[in-house]
Amino acid sequence: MDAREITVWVLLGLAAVVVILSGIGLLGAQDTLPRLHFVTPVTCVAAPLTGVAYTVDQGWGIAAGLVMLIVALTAVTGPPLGAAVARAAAHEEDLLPPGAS
Amino acid sequence: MTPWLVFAGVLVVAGLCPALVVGARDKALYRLTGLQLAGPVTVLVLIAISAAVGQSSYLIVPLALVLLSYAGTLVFTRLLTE
Repeated sequence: MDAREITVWVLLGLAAVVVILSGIGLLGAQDTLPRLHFVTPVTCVAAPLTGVAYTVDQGWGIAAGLVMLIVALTAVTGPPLGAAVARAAAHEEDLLPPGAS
Repeated sequence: MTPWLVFAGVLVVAGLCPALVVGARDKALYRLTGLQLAGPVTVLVLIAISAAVGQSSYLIVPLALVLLSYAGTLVFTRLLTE
């Protein structure tokens, strides 16, 4: 096992740990707003780690560029989705200030 | 067994299963958080499968999924607040 394989194993292991902890946290959280905190690490930490692991494993090329595009889209679209779901939850629980739509 | 297959298996068990459990109980907005987790985890699983079998053409599926899950979740939030 050379340095490249060890790097891939380490990066994928870190990403897997992030996903495992997020899954446990999601199961343990009792409300919508706390649950949202456990989705963000998957999109903003695990996904980029996976993209870097793919690039290290396969080498830089069109496929690696496509994977980096996918993980960038995942990381960029995660926070707005969390904000949208949080706003919907606040709307349902009447947490929004008067006049807010 | 390649690291990508191990990674895909771990994500299915420890990522998709909790997302499915959360997505199958309680109120609609609670379930939406499960769907929100299932999207990126599925994207990572598909990337891992593509790397494991060495077929880069399979990457078009997670690319489509990341765009569709974004739009789909936004539609769900819109519908649930009306």
